[in-house]
Amino acid sequence: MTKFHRYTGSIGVVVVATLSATLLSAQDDWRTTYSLYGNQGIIDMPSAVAPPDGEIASTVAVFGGNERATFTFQLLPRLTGSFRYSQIDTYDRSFDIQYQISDEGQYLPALAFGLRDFIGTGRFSAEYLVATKTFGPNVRVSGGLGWGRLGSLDGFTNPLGVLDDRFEVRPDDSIDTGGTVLAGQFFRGDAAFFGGVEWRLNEDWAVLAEYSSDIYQRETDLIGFERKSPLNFGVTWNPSEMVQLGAYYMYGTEVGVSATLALDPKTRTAEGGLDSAPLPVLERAAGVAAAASWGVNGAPASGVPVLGQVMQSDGFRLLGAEVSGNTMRVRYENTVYRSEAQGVGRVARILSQLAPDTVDRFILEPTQRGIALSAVTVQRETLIALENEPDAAARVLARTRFADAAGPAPVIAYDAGAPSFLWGVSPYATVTLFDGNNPFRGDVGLEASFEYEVRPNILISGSYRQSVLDRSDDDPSISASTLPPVRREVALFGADTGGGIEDLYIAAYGRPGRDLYSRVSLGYLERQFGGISTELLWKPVNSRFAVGAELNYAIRRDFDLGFGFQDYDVITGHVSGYYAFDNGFQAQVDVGQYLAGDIGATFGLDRVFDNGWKVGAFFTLTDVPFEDFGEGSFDKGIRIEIPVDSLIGTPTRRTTATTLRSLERDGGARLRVNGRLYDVIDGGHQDQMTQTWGRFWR
Amino acid sequence: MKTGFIFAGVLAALAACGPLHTVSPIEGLVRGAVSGALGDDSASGTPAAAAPLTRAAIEAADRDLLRISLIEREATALLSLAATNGTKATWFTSDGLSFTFDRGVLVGTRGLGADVLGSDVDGAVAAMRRGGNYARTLDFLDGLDQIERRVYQCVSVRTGEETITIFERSYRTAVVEETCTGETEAFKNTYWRDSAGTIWQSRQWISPTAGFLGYQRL
Repeated sequence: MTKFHRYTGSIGVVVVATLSATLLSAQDDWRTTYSLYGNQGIIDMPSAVAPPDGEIASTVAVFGGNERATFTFQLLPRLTGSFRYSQIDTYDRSFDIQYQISDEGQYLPALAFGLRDFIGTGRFSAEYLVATKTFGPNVRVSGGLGWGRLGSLDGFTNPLGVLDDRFEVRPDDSIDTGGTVLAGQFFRGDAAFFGGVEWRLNEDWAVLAEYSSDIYQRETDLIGFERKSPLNFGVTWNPSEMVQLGAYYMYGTEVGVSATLALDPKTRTAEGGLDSAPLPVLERAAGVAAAASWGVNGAPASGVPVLGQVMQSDGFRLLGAEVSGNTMRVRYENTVYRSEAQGVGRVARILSQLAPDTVDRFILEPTQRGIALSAVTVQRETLIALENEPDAAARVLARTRFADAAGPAPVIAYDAGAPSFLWGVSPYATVTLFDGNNPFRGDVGLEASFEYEVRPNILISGSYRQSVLDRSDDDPSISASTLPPVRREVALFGADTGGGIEDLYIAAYGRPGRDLYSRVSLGYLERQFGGISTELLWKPVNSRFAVGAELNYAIRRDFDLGFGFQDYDVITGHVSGYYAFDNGFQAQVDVGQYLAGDIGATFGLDRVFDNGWKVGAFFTLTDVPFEDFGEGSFDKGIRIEIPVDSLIGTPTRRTTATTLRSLERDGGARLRVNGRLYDVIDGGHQDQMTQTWGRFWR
Repeated sequence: MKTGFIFAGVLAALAACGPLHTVSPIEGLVRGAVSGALGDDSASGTPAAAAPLTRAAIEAADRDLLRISLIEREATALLSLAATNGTKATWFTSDGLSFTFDRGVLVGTRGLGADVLGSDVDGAVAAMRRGGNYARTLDFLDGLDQIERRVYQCVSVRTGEETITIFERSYRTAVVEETCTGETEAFKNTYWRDSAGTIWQSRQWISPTAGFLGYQRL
């Protein structure tokens, strides 16, 4: 057969090019300008131009001894959150939030208010109310009223003083270790006006000018920053939708630059993906395979190996199949496709090709780590009737039933003969962010890893890392606390040996009963701890709510990353509640005892996009007092998970995840265990499958 | 009916390339059928179009063949019929793309990235004979894995008659032009249809990114 090859006129299909698709020019929208603070603004001042919902922007900005690296996420259409790592004289972290009160109307400007650096030490602490109005296609003017730093140049008595005299004085609300919300100083003290203009020259270029109401007192005092003028000027270049580069002349003295990378989780490379075409649905017919035996009445099951091979060629591993009456049930593992709904759709079409004619109903049981996640019932006639019909995905979903799959495996087991031992060697790179003295600490080297499958639900897994850097002279100190050093000595692990056993453990998964899932992991679970981890999760297939319990016994490993342990062990465990909201947000609360023996709870909230992107934040409060915890006062951070298929276009189940912590210390530290149950099973349950059901026919 | 199973067999054969697999009798049977359909090309894996395609080769194939060009990509391929489902026929390339036509009108693609997931073409098919106005929907898959349904208002007009030649064989066809206008784009499809209703040649719009395809029945 032929592959697509370069087209030449002589052999091409004769086509008469009469009319190309006329794409009406897309609504001309002027994207948000990211300021030196890494969120919507002009240069150093904010604006009321909300980025598109879901946009994730990372900005690095430098001027006059100031360095800022900011991560901004459009949490909701009107709500922007930012996390910043910055340097003036020392490194510091800050959080901003901005809320869009109203969008721009024909006459009225867009209106927003914001809180800058509202948790922690408050070095950038400011609040503001800002309005932005567009004039013509290429001019955007913003102006606002600021408090805190934004009220520091020619500030006037706070107009909010008419409400209460206390507004007229701005107290210092921060504590030494940071980490607390500075609510006591919001919108208090002097206020001042700021404003600026953005003028777009063309699609790629814009020039900016602003009047800054920030007198830069702290920078002047601490690093001798020179500020001669309140006026800033800049130019931005957007070589693509994703990139903004800026150059600036700041405060009459300094030159600055910035670079922003903006990602939109809602679009993906290659739109619907480059997954190969699924097998088409076959009308019922007396094909060879259909006549093959399916083990009814004790006859040998010659149909199963064929099914297994066809499924394997499409990225599925058949574990078992059975035909009983008019129903065919298969249990399989989807090894390629991110969406289990897509897996269900593809396997159902394969069954339409190979199932005996007498079968009217397919029950598909996707598994991960050897445990069945759900039983999805699809009618054969539905497939035949709706393939390539309009609105076919929604119409199939309406006729599909989801049920628990805790029952026995199908009668005829199938072993694909896939190798049960897998290994690989690859380079690795890690970054430890935000330890007190260094903005980040990097490590690169080689990692050798293996996985051995004893049975589909019992895995032995391990990895060994060897760094190519000599880190033995590093100063890994994170300032001490009164707690056992369960996390703050992270840099000592492998520092002298340059590497060692990263992890080495056996994990067994199970289905102890209806709606119940279990896991036991034993061995060197992570870089710093070994031991045993047990977990039980209750999650009905159609439930948005789940409850889990985890109990671990953890022993601290030796710094050399060998087989030895240090003299510290602890019982740690949590009871966890999970809830998936209708709007895509997912909440998790874990209550229990942490590695340092402290007791408390972790609260997490993630926005989960239907295509698998996750952006979230978490914080942990325990019975460790803030002053004992040390810098940051408590553990908190943000996390991002990106499905790799949306980046590369071809199907894969891999994801890439990053957690940005303010500073990991000893309080509120959890054991790191691979393959926690909720993450393993969630994709095979009704809610997640429904999210991606558009891929059923893909 | 048999063709669908043959395609499944092709997949099974591909899967069995590793040393861990033994070749089952069924696979052998399937391989034989495929080689028979497409000559030595499928056995050796070389593109059929590398050798000049002739009427004799087309006749020798025991399966229906279709030649499709993706105009934006300047690519062309020979496809074989993989399955029929009612009035819909699904054709495959050897590198894993499929195109489904309902009575000659495109209703689905898979593997292009910017795929059509489904379409209703009853109006279009009915208007082929005498022309007419109708609404048509095309379903696309967006970046969030949701089906995006776009509705187009279409007009079909018979613009003339033309005798076309496809590899030494001539067909007397009526030329039908279908012009569709949606909220964000418009497109024009052209069909060359014989008096029995077979569309031997056409140029049809796929999606905003994938652009147009052209096909010839062989």
